[in-house]
Amino acid sequence: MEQVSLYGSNKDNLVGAVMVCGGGIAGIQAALDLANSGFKVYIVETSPSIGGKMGQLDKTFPTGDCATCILSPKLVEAVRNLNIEILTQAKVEEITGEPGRFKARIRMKSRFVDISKCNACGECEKVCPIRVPDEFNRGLSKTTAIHKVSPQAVPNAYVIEKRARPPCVSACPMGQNVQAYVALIAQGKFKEAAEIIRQDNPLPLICGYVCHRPCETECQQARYGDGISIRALKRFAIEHEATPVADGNDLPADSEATTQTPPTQRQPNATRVAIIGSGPAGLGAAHWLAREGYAVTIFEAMSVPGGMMRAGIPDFRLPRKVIDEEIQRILDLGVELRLNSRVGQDITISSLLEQGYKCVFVAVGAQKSAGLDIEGENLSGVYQGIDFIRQVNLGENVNIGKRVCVIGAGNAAMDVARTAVRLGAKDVTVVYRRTKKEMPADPSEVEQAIREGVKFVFLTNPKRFLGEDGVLTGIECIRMKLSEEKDASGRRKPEPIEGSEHVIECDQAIIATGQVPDMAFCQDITIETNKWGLVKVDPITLETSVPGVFAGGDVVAGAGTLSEAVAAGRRAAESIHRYVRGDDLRSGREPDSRIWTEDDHRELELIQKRQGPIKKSTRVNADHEAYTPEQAVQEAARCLACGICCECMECVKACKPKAIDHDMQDTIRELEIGAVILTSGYDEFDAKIRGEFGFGRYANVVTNLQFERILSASGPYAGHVVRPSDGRQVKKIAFIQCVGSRDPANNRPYCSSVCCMAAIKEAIGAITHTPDLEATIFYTDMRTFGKDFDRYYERAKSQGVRFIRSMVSRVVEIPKTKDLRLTFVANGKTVDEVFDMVVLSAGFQPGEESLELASAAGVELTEYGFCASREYNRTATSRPGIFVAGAFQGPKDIPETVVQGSAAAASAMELLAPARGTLIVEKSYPKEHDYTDEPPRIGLFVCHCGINIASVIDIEKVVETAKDLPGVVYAEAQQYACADNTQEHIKQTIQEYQLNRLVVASCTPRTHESLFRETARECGLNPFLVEMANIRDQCSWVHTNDPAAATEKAIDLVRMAVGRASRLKPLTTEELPVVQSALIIGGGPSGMTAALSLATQGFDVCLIEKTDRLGGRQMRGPDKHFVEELAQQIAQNPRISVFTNSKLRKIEGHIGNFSSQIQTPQGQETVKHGVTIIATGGLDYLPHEYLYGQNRRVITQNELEVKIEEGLSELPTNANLIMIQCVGSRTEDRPFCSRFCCIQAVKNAIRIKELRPDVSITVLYRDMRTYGENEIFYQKARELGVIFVRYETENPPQVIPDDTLKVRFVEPEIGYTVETKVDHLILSTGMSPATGNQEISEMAKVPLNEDGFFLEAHVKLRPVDFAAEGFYLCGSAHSPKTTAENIEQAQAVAARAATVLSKPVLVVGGQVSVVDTRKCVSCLTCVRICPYGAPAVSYKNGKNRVEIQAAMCMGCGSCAAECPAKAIQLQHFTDTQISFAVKALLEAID
Amino acid sequence: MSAQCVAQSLGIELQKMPDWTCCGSTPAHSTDELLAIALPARNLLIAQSAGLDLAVCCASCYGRLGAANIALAQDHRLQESVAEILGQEYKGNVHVRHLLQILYEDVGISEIRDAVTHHLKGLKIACYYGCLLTRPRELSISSDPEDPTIMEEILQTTGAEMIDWPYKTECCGANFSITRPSTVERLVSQILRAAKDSGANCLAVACPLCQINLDLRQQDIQERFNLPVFYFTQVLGLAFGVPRKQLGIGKLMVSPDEVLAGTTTGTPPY
Repeated sequence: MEQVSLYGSNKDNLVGAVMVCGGGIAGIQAALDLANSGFKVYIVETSPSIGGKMGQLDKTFPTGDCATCILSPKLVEAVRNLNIEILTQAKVEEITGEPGRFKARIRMKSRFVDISKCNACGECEKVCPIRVPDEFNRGLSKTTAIHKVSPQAVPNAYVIEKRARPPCVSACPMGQNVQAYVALIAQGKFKEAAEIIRQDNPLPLICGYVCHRPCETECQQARYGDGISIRALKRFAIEHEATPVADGNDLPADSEATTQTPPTQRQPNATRVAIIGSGPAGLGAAHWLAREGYAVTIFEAMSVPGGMMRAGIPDFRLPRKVIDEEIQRILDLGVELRLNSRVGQDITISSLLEQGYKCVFVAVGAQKSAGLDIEGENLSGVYQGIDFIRQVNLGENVNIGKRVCVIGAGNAAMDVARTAVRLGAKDVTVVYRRTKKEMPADPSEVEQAIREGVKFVFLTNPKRFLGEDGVLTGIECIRMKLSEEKDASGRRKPEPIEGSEHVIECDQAIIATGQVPDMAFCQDITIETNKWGLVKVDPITLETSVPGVFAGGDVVAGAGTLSEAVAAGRRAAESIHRYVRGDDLRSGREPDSRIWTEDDHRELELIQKRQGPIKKSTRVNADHEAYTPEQAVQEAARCLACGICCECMECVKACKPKAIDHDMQDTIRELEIGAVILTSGYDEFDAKIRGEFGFGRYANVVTNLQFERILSASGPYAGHVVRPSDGRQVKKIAFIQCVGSRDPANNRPYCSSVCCMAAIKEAIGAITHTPDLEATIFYTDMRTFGKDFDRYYERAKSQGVRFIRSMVSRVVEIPKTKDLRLTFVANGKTVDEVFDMVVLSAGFQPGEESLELASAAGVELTEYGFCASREYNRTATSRPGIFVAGAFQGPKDIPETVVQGSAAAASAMELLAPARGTLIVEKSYPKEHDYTDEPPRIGLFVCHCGINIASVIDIEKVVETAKDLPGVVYAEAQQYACADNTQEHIKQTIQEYQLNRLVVASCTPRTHESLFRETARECGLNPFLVEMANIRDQCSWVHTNDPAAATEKAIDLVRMAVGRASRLKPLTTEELPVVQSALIIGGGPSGMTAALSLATQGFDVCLIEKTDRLGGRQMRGPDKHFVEELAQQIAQNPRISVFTNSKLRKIEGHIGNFSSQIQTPQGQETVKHGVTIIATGGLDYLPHEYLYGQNRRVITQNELEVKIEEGLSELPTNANLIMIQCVGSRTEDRPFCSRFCCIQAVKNAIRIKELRPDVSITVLYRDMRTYGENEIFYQKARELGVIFVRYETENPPQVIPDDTLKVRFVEPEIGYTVETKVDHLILSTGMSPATGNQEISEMAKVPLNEDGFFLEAHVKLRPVDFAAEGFYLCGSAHSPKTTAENIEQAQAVAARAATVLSKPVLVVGGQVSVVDTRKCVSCLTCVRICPYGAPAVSYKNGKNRVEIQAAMCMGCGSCAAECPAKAIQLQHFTDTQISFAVKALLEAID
Repeated sequence: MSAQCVAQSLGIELQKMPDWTCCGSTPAHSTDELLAIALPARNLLIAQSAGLDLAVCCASCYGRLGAANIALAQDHRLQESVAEILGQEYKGNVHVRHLLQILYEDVGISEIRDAVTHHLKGLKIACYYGCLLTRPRELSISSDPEDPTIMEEILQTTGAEMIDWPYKTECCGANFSITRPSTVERLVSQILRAAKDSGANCLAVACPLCQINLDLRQQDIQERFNLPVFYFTQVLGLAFGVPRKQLGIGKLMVSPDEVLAGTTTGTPPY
């Protein structure tokens, strides 16, 4: 009310939409309630799929339902709801505005898969080469980089996981997709790997021999040991591109087609481009330009092509054959090569431009030795390294000395030295001015040189060459030292040591210290150069100062590397292409933004740590030896997949619907909403923090969520309880409770509430799977406080689960067996016991995402990071209009989460009530045609489902056979029957062929029937004229090994479907008006809260209370003030009519339209209402134990509260109080926990201690059940000096009546008996069900549980609904709980009720049972069998006959099956329809 | 000995502290709180006047010196009484660092790897940290006190195989060598058995007392483990090509000859 009044009732001020942040069960529940009651909902989920943690669970307690099975329908419901929009991988960045009118900015992370096109066929997954830990299985198994989060993912679509660009890729000048080809090699896909390499590299094999491999330096694996031998793998891939794959899954590659590209003819009119130089830069440019269709001519000064590759690299490093082959490949593209054409001498650049070459690319390299510029350099015997090696490589005669000195330490120097050795020099010495560590040469080259006998003299620099008669005799050198100062390259600067001159004798000196370009080519034109004499170009476009002339490679960069030169060639080609077309030369060529950072590395490291030790390198030798396929696969498999997805594009090739787009970008969405609900859930406590348990270190120590995955049939071990270390069946398992809960040392002082039950459930699950398994649970207090939880605990004990009340101090792995030794204290002694496996009950903590969300939403957090909320309205955050639900509010189990989800929805509804219905859409359909008198015209669509069906079943055969079936007028096969475009096609076909029945042979109606029904309705066909044959789940999937029989079965299934379809009848639904008001029984806090919420939403409420006042049990104690305020608000609300001293007498009707009689003091009243809410509360248990009622010193907690309110003045100084817990709870007669008494006792104790610190308080308990954040009160009480002593159930405290009062109890750990005088003995007495429950249960036909509390429809997912529609329950009528929890249930009920009351009409009918009154004998069989109470006997036509109330019938068919008189038929599944299906099958057999 | 050789190889200059005294170790802090602080504080003072940080080779010394640093920084009164005892005020500016930390953080793994000339193939090392290097948490040399890996990361550069095993932070009981030898034998046996069962053929330790205890005690234990126990710089020294004699390899009680056979003649890891 108060919120609405802020805006008056002007609808225009409020936005009728709500944003729900978090798609777990809380969010889903809130979204469904809101959408079903007239609000538009956006679910904003950070992960790629909704479902949250619940989807990861195996079973749920205490019912043992499969978690996924009960969750999935809700998810499907949400995804299908027209008024719910699900945004996955979406993050809220900011929420602005005010309650009723918010704006939210959402960042949508790109998924790289178009959800609307993806049909989840899984083809992409099969070809993805990357394996990453499967987060859904908590890292226990691996999944592919493109994956579906889980088999039941909603939306049912794939997603690609990417990180920053891998460092190896960024390091490569050519931008080679290193991770992709390494990953493909690891998969044995050598041909595909070679394709990837060739994409960016026209000289791949040459690179595979001599690349300087910057990728290997950057390899993240090198941080742990040896990096991946990428260069050797590249060479391997190219040399094996025609080799069939290792695992034999693929067809052998066509070697002709893949290794030899046929020569391309150049187009006569193509644009001509001249390239000067046939080195790697020139060849690179030629390759890319020729591929773009340019007529490329290369002018080469030498008599052979290849530039420095040929002239500068010796044969023993790079075989000539390899150079020849790779160059030929490029020439085969139609490139013209003119040898012996020296530009500047034979031709000029300007003449080339005049001759009609549109552009010239200058790639002449650096051919001149830089020299040392010292005395004696012109002596005979002094060679320039580059000249020396060129002459050798070109086969010219070279003189070689006996004692050769090589000056320099780069790869060129190594080449020279090793060549000299090969030419027969006796003694080859490398002279270098720094140390080995600073040598720029590839270490492996240095190593090879050492092996070949080359000597090294370090820290030595030549001063001059000495000679006699013009012939070299030696080198005068000076010793050097490294100074602390560093030079531009980051290396320590060498400095000469004065006076250390000495002579190294030699007859040949080869200077290999660097090269510079020969600028002779630009004689005729003026090209700008820089201070080093290199051509000046624009670094992005490679343009020179002359238009149309580009330059790249060594002529621009100085002596560089092969791969840099090739990359320059490509850059130039791109620029030339743009230049010719007149495009902008710069746009879109910005540097890569997806740069690898240390953060990425840390993330990788975390994953890496979980995956275990790094595998050792399998390299045989650094470079010159080649890998065998086995070795290559092994080496490639060591890749850490830094980028996760490697963009190999295999998935793109495999995806038939073309749903994958690797270039997808993040987008921003702006949402306008009236309210926000935060449901971002929790994260598991990082159990590694409790290092003593060895999680993350010992393979067989898992967390409870991991164990849920192990138990799950869809989990990593298919539901077998086996150990991660060796896959052995588990025989002995230990559960350690409170890991990251009740742990103030790690700032987790709260209790996580659910772990005790979860552990029991998991123990029972493990025992169920392996009957002789021994399960032990180590715990501190067993907190099974929920409805029916204690029964579950007792059952676990009887099933043999061992419970040990002890905290385990450490877990140690036994090295040989990987078993685990646990140390704990039992009966005062330290015990060691060995287990197979340990499960840590890791507690709840708010996730990183929740914290970010809270900051974006601007809401306050508690000390521990949960969302701060109000005491009596736990869905309210610190910011009005933003609500919270689920585990983000605090640790809780599924029912409480669902309740809070609905409660938050109610809060939003209250705020936005006037805007209800303003933003929702309802679909309209064309008028249905009347086919009554027409013979069946059946259209059949058979689905390939990609290869899901087609790989097993011969679809064409099915279609051919079905064409001739009776009634079939049209049959065809479809790739994906469910695809969007297919729906359009089906609609057209229906109209074109005037079809009046639709049969789809594909998957299951469970997921897809509604889609095809929808399609039928959209073209005027009654939805009940659609039939499906499940030839996937029930055929191709289960008969993969027998395609022939599967095809026959598919034909039979189709036959039956067609047979039944011919007898399908259009069914109609009818609309019943809804009485938009509620009846609430019970005027306690729960009933009042529900009434106020509904009234605020604009619905009329009738509230009946049997006593003379509203307020219930809570009109005393700490809740008193709050309850009084509620009662006041009720009294002021005109929409609520209150009947006190009144009772329900009779209730009739059904959902939407009930009629009740109420006995009021004034007489009988009849009330019409659409929903019925039972909030009858509970009763304080009146004890007879412990002398209650006999001794005035014995009182209850409730009575104590009155005394505390009075100030405890009567208590003497140093009074002694004892509280006894579980009085009348958890006993044989009353085997349930009353839940609130521990909290009540602790809070009362604190209040007493605060009032009267002198009073001594002892609490005698069995298990302190101060769950959730109540644990902090327990802690506080202990800090205040309250003494807590446990008692055993078998040995309860004794009361000794005395003139005073004495209590005697035993401390069980030490076995010591205490007897003490007490001033007051306080009994924590718990609760009983209300006395009138039985009567109401019978009247409304809603059930009670064994203890006499009302029983909800489903304890997990429908916690406040009754199975009978239109009936709801809340508060203590459901089970004992705290006032705040009761309030929450009441709010939830208001939301649930609103989903009914907000609709003017209810649609009923369709697939419901109907009674043939002529046959009915009113035997009441159907009345008894129906789970929904739909059949009722009514008096019609002079007889009592059964009538099935369509509004209540769920169409299950139980009554039709049971009816002895065959008087009931379930529409859409009539006997005729079924017999026609059977007949169709049998006819075929004949 | 080996520590000095290795430090030298890596270009670290170690200065011997003049007039150092015992840190007090366990006996001091189990007797007198003030004494337990004052003894190490005296050494800290010496380092302070030399203007140097402290490099420590022993786990217990490291713990006591570090604890004194923390206690003095937090407790002003304590600082005063210690100043009174020692006649000089300690300013709390001396960093106490274990040699492992210096190698890991200052020198760095890649530098160490560059210094390796001999591949120690065939050595399967269980790295043993003992109870004091990672506890208490605020003095831990590793961010993961239960499962430190810094020694493994350092020694991995030698080409030796690192064994993952569960007892790397177990107590060896050295303090009770004299008073409760049977307890010590039990603890040592447990540690050695775990190392052996995990596949190790030797141990590397970062505390001289652990070294003595684990090495010397093997002759008193019934079970013949025959596991050589190296101080970790001995292993590094071998990989750097430092002569065995300079590393004191011959002084080990359990002879490492067998496990080292074929390793020191190995080739550099290229």
